[in-house]
Amino acid sequence: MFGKKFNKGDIETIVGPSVSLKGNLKSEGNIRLKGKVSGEVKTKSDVFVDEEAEIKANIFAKNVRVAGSIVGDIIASGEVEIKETGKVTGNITSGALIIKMGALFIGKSTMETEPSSTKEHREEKVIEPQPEVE
Amino acid sequence: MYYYIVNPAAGGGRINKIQSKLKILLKRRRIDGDFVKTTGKGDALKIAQKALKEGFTTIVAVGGDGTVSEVVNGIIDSSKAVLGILPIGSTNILANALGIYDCFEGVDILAQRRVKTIDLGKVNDTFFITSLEIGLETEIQNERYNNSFFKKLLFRKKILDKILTFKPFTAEIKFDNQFSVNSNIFNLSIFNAKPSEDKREKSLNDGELLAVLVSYQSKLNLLKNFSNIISGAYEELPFISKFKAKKIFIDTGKFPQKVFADAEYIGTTPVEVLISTKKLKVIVSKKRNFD
Repeated sequence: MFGKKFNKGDIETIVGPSVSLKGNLKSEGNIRLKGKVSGEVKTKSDVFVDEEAEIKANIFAKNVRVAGSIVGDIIASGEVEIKETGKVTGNITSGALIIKMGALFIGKSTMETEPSSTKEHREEKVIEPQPEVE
Repeated sequence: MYYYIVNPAAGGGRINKIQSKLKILLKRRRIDGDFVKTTGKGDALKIAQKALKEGFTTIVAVGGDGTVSEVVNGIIDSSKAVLGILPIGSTNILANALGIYDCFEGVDILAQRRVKTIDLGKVNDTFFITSLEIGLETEIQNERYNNSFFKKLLFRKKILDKILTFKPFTAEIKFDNQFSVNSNIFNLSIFNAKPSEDKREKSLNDGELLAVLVSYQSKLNLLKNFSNIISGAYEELPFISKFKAKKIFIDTGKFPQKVFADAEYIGTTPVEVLISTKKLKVIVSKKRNFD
């Protein structure tokens, strides 16, 4: 039903129906959104936006599956899938994008192997030369 | 040196029937010590504090969840104290969380002396081991674990009546000053230790609290999920929310709600709940469900 890339394992965070969330939601694991969210959603894992969800937020994740409504940008290092009931108004930056028949997408799509906003900055290590031992 | 704080009322006075056998077993395992009986609510806490002052470091709560909770709060300020539990109460959720299911098996566990440092939840000035509850669970928790068939039937009827008459409350809940959640609530549980886990998961020392929020639904929807509500398996309900955090602030506005921690009433909302990491040394079983 979902691409192989979606990890349907344990859901660490759930915003249930009839719940309204405001602010910056951060998680290490999978996030499932069924209610109303405004702000920002960030995880290293996957985000599932259920059909009844109304999201006014930017989403940063590995993979995102959208069956509800999102007004905001999606930045995913993996795959974004907009299901037939999904509506996205915003820009999508992802490794892959699937838009099902019936879905609505208003915005710009950019495909990257590793979106720049999810790249980690690597510190350069400077190795001091060791003094010679006689 | 072991110090046993005994609740003579726990489990319907069970200690009276088993005390002699228990003392023989403890002596055989060379962990016998002073046996002191409590005389009422709040007594276990004072006795625990007194035992620490007298130099005892292993304090064993012989009773149910209420007794254990009081002993925990009595020894919490001591870095040397170690908690042991021999469960004989009507509800022994705290002991079960540490893998201790039986009083006599508990003697072997005490003797093996496997000590782990666990997190505790803190609400106001009270520490708790397993969970904090606001909502439906506060009205039924102590009756959930009754083993009598007749009492189980009465419990099911009580739950049904509660579902049909329960008045939900609105709450704003803030998590780690990062985000807030608003909802009409049926029940809110904040777990330090998740109950009834089948697999090893780090819960008692993972440095986080888990909030499980059951939003209020139509009575029909609640009745459809009756069996999960009966068993307290709120995480199985399709209309829950779940969040992890180190700090959780709960405000119910003009309508304060009762708050229970480890099945004991501790006050009303608003409350701030914090995780206290590596706060308490406890003697655990290898059957525990955390590392």
